[in-house]
Amino acid sequence: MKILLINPPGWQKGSTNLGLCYLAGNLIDKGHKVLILDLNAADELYESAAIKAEKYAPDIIGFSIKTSTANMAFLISKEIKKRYKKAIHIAGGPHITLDYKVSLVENPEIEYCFLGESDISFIDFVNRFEKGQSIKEVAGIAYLDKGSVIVTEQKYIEELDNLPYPSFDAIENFNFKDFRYPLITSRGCPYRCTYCCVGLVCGKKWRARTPEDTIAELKSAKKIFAIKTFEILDDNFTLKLDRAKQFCRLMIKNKLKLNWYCHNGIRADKLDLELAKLMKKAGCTSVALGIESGNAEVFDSIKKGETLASIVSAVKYIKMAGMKVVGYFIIGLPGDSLNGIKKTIEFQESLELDGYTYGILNPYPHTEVYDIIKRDGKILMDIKDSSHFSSTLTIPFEMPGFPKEDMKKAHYLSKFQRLHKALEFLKNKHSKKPIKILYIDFSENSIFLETLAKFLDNYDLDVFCSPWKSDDYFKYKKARKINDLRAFKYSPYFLKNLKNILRLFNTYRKRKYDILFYNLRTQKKMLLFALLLIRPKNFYLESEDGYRILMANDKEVRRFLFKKIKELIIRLPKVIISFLLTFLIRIAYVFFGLFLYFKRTGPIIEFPTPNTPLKIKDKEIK
Amino acid sequence: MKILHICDHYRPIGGAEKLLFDTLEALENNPNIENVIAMHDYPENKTTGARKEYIINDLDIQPISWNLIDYLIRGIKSKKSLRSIIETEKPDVIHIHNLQNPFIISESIRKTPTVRSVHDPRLYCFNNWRILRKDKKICPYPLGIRCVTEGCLWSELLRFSFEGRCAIPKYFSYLLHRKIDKLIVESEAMNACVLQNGYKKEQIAFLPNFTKTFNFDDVMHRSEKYGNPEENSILFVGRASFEKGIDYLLEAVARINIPFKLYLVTGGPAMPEVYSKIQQLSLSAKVEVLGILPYEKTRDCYAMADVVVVPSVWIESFCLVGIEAMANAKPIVAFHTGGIPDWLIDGKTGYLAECRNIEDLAHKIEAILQDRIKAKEMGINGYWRVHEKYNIETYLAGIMSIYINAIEHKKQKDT
Repeated sequence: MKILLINPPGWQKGSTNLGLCYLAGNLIDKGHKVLILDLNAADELYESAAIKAEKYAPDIIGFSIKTSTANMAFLISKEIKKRYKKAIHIAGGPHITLDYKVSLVENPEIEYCFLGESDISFIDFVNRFEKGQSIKEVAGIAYLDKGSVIVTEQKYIEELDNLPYPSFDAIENFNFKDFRYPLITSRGCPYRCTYCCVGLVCGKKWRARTPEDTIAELKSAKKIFAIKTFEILDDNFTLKLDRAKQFCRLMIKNKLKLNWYCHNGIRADKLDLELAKLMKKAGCTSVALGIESGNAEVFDSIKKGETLASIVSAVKYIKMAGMKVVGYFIIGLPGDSLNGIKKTIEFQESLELDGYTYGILNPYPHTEVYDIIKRDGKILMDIKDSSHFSSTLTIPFEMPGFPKEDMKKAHYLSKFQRLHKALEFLKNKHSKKPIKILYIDFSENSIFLETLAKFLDNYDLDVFCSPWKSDDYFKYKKARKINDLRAFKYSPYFLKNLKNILRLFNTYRKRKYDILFYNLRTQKKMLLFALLLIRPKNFYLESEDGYRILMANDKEVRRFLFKKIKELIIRLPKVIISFLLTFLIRIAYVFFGLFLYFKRTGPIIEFPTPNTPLKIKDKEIK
Repeated sequence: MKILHICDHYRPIGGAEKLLFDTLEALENNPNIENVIAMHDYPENKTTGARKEYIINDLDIQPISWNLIDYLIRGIKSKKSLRSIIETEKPDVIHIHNLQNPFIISESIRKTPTVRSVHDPRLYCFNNWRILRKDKKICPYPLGIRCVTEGCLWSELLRFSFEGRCAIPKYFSYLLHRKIDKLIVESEAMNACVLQNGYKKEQIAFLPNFTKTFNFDDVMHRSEKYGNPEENSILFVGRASFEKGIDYLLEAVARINIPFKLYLVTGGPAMPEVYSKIQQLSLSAKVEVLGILPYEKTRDCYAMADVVVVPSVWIESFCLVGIEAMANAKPIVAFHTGGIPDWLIDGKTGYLAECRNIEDLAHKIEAILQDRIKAKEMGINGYWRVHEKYNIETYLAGIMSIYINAIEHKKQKDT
């Protein structure tokens, strides 16, 4: 049979839909033909997906649906049905498992829903469909029968080792460059966290693959895809410490030499120093913990079943082992508030994490928090329209103690906490709020355009940017309240560039800025001029490793200036030699010009007008 | 047949690159053809996995700094990398799409039949666009003395600027291209330009661009769906730079006396000037900048537009936008320059305005907006013209015969 699997857009960019790859692996193993369209990676419109579907002409079209991709998936399904009617449409994934009734009733194009894990049930379905047998006995499916929803008994797979490896080749135009191999070593989670849907989707019963089988998969991936890195995507990787340790020992024994990280499935109370050290030795470079909240009351209310003290110990172990530690936090948990988030930020700072991410709570249907919000709070939008892992901020609900505006404030406070602290620091130091700000952005990737300007709403903001970023800045000039926006006009002549910069910086100097934002990722040369010419009271430097606020008379600034001048003096002999060499080459170029001057050339063209045709004049110029 | 395609950009950023992807797709419909790609290592260039793809360091090398020794070393390295790819893949023919690197050209023509697509005047013009530096007029002269006397090159050589430094490598590239088996030109204008610059007639192959065509009913249905009968929509699709004439278009629409909305699908180096021009001409309420869009979304814009304007002021090699708009059944108003008159039949598929004549351009845009029946008729004529002349079948047959001729030419040369 010919099967088309679609991963709709709306999820984290750069992620691979492992569930679809598992299905593809299983189907290919049984002799079926499978193509995966990863629309989330391809940035394609739904019409083009429909055209591709029509061209591929499958018998079955399957959609993997998460809450934030559901609306787009249903739209794609409708568009495909319009163009190509020969295939039946089925859907699976977390959102379908949670909300299959509504999905079936509201979207008649979707004929069958697959609940939970469908590795085996989907194969059974395809075989029966191929042979024309009754589908109603397939386990773990839901369908409409005369207006009522029929659900068959859901079964979870006990022997995960028996499943074929996922097939990434089935994804159309899959980019294997810098491929980070996604690995699952276990499924399910027995805990009852109120915001999490894993228990409802993958089951409360934890099932694991043998470490030997996972190592064999990695060996095969290394051979076939030449992978250098992988990541663990388990729901609960370390539930059984001995198994996790055995996995690491086998990694070390087999000398796989793969870098990996574990940003999923690590509970703070399920990690000891021995495991952390083994993970490090096995190549793990970074570990993430779902900390969710630093506010003890909120933390206890989400029923994670661990304590903040265990978070502190886990962070300590990970650091002692020499790995990076990242924390994930949630804004909007029941009982939380703007002040609560401030406490969480304090807790996060005390942990000295290498990275952190704050996300707005996404209340998945039928989770405990969803019921709490429905009962006590207010759902502000269709949950399916909310974004997840996206740069756009959507707040789908509010709670009595945590209104939408406060959640927005909490979001910006958490995202720009260092900047907030820096501005507070300046306010205290100068006994007044800094008002005039100049932002110089010549970087390839700046945080400014995303959301920083929203944070600076009450300031007098000027921007100086590179021409290749100017499009975005001009587009958002009004929205971001930028007073003065200039893009640097590059000239092919060095002296002209220098003149332009000096003239512009002199203008900026006269404006007397309170603070100069400078992005350190590129164009460090310009910083020297900015320091010497604009002479703002303070500099805010943004670089890979974070942010720094410096005063004009700080030692660090003086050291930087001396260093640059010293560098110039040391490089002087090299500059002189270069100058002489360049001089000789330039003479050669002048001779080239003379050569062209005396070169015989061809005829001239008389270009056409609406009344005269194109002509090549025979007359030679010389 | 195995074809090694050499290109600088491997993502659809402009007409030449879109044509490359369309060509690859068209060729791959034939199971006997295997495409292999060698691309420059721009960070934005990504492998697609759809075919065999090599990323070569410094494939599109240019003397960015004064250090020409570094340039030479890197050029030789890129040549070696290409050689190893040719030895591994053993292509039947090499197709160079948009590249001036003389090291790569010399390696390509050494043993393998080579074909080169000429998309712009960079092949024989030191300032790339064949626009005179002094007065910004279109240059009628061949490469030679006038490059020095008309001020395009001399000052660059004396200042040793980037363009000055590029002059000698570019001249070598110009000479090496005389040994290429086939030069593909897309229009009569480009043909004349290539001949004028000393390339042999038998070396030149004429093959206009093509674009994907769609079902007629579907195209008309989309026009109805996206079009707004209460708005006169003008559309510009192209790079924001002098040669694409966006300035002239803004000046022209400022002279239009009926209500309209101008949509700009654009982006590029001249964007700051575009925004300031919009403000200067008080057009902010009448112009909407949509930015750079993928082709699927640009198709929606074509469907929405009442007229598509191509105000190019240089020798357009072909201008793919024109036939794209025609494939979407839209009338076109364009300046009479370069390859545009090849596909735009004045009065039948749109109007040709005198090059750089703003009044004429404004008058012709207005004429189309005021006569919707005529405009629709022109759009339909354009649609069928693309169907007949600029379709995939014609292009595929043309390009295959060029490859075969190149192989035969190389054999004859070797014997």
